[in-house]
Amino acid sequence: MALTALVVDDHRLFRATARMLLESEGFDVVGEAEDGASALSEVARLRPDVVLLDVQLPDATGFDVAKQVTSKRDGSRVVLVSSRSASEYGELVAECGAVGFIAKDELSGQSLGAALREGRADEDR
Amino acid sequence: MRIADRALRAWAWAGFVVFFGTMIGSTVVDVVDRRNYSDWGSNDTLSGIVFALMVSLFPVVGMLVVHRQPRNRIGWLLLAIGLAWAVSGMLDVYARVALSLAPGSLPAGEAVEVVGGGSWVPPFLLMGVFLVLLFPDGRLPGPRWRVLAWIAVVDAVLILAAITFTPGRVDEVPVPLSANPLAVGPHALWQGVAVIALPVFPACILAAAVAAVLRFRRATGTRRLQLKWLMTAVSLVAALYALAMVVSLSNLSRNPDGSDGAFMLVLQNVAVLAFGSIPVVIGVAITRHGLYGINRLISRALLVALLGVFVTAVYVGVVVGVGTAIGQRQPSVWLSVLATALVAVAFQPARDRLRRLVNRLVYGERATPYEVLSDFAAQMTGRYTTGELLPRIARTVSECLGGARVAVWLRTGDELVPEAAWPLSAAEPPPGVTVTGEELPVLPADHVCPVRHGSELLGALAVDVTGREPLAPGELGLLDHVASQAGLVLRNVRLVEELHSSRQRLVNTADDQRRRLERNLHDGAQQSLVSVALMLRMAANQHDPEVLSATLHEAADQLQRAIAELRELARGIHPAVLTDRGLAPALTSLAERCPVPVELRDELRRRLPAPVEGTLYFVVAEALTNVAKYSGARLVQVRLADLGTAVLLEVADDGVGGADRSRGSGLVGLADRVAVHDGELTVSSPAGQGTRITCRLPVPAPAPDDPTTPARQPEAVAG
Repeated sequence: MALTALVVDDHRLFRATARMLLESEGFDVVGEAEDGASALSEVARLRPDVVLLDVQLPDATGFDVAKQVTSKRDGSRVVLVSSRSASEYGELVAECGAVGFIAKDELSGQSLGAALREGRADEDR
Repeated sequence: MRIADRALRAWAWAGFVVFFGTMIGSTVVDVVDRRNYSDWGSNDTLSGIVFALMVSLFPVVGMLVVHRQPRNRIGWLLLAIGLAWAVSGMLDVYARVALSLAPGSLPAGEAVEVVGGGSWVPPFLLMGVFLVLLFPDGRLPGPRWRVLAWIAVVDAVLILAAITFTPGRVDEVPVPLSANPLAVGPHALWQGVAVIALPVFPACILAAAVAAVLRFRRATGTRRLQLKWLMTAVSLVAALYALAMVVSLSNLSRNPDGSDGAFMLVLQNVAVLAFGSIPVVIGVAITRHGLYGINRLISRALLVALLGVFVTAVYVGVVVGVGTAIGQRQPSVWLSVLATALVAVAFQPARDRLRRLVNRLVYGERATPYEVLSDFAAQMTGRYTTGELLPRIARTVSECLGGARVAVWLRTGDELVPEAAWPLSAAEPPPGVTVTGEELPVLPADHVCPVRHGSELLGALAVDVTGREPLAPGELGLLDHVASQAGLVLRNVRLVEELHSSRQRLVNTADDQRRRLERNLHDGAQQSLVSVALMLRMAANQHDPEVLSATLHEAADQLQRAIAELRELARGIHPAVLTDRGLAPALTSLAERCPVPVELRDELRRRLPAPVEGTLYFVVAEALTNVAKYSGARLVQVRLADLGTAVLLEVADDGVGGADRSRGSGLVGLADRVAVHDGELTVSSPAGQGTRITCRLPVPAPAPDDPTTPARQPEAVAG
């Protein structure tokens, strides 16, 4: 069964493109959210397997949202995305409970799958 | 029942006339009847007149005071002193007429003579005890002092009784009597009373002086100042009397026959006259204490007194000291000449030294106003940094004003803020006060002196004299002088502050611009490019040619949008057209992109230095952005004029107006930018009448045949 995904980003263009890309690679994009508050309510409502979460949101940082999502331990895993590079955020990515980080321009079903696999391997260890 | 002021004045005048009538009568009789002697140390007519003059000063001042303030108790006391002297004079006149001028013409001459012998007691009681005890408000310093008042009164009565009733010989003016006609009781009784009562009298006077000193120490404000006046006069009189006593005891100024020499006579008369200074200063203290600088008077009086002591000391030292050493009994003419020469030579340096000493005593550490001003001038030569300067001004002024609290207020924008104060205090400084125009607002202080440069209000010096004496006219004058000099200082301080904050704003503006740029790149071009990347990745996996084509078209469109956004951003950073083709095409391009129609009138026929062109461009760009965002205007006129050594730029719209330079950071940033080139930016934006931004920038005068001057179309209209 295809993994369900929620795309959270304040740029409509990115949400649309990411949805098309992920769906073309076998993900089931079940919803979109444009800020932190609606992201949390959509996660609670849709219980997606993966939350593709932008770091810079209008009302909160992606790190704060990721912490709240992962603390509930209801199965949703978070992969952070940003048009900046991971090195700009350093430890913050690992500390917020997200399983991985993908630069926006490197996003694909493949890279997302790889991030999830790597995250699961970490959890198993 | 309350007596009307008019009635009080009438009574005062009546008493005053009685006093003068008696005084004149007494003086006439005194001159006619030469067989008298005076208790005042000499028996010449001059001394009699001097004494009469001195005594007259009491009721004269009393009359002046009562005339202005009919309920002033001290005024009435001064009048009473005059009347007491008048009674004394009347008794004297009566006795002289009855016993000397026309013997037998009046009854009871001898009895009057005896009573007159004690007539000095009441005026001395009033002058020596009550005047000092009741000054300045006519009330005792405290309920306990009532005891002193009673002791003094009882003592005076006892002295009078002893003088009046003691049996035996009476040694009085004008005729000594062999037996007292009023004698009552045994001689020993009255003598005992006199022995006890007489020394108590000066003790009461001394106690009254102590009361005045105590009153002075706890007095504040006007009361303190009034007491200071009195104490100054009393000290002067005491010093002169002490001097007279020293001269008298030293046998210095004595004629060979044992009578007083000329110097002694002058000194005695001066001392008697100086006594008259007491009522005079009382009058000044009551009615005019705010008009004269007491400190100045004190320092002068002290200087004169010390110089007197100096001259006397030299004289005594040389004439008596040297005279004794070389075995001369009589004062030598040569030694007198030597002493005079010494005094003449040493007088100037001694006066300078004494003046410094006196100034230090009266004005404190910082000494005279002159020193303060010269010190102040030295401070402005740049020995101190701005941060040190304002506290230093406060301190200098405070020390000069005898430690009053002085605050230096500085204007920042439309607010006066207390920037420095002396003496330092842990209390919270008062809040800032809003300034309207160039008017000095009300500040929480007793004396406030505005500090201006030209008409521009830069700050203020505020002096608080709570618990101290009010400032004397001289001190107020000094404050004015310091304030006028401080104008330059505060202007410098303000320029430095303005430079500092404008520099800060420039840095902040640059930071803001960078942040905005990053945000714009991130939200605009970067997002578009990210999408293009994702679309191309999607296209790579696409096998359906139709979907592939659509995806690639979408990616190309997105890429074009990104390019457009980047172009716009680049123009915002610095428009290439400005660098390449100059101001006119750059402004035309701005005008074309403005949503409000722009009428551009460019009268500039030459290229300007790049920074100037950049500044003018950004002023127009910011102005047009504001017009589009806020003004609701239908037309904007942009005019650029070449004034030779300056360029004038005007951007005027017909919108709603009401733009506030202090609120919009954009306008402030522009003003800073213009200020960097020594230019001026003014914004006039009355509500409902549109906004006019005028910018004047100095530029190098054009060269006579400037090859870079391109021919341009004078006018371009775009919309």
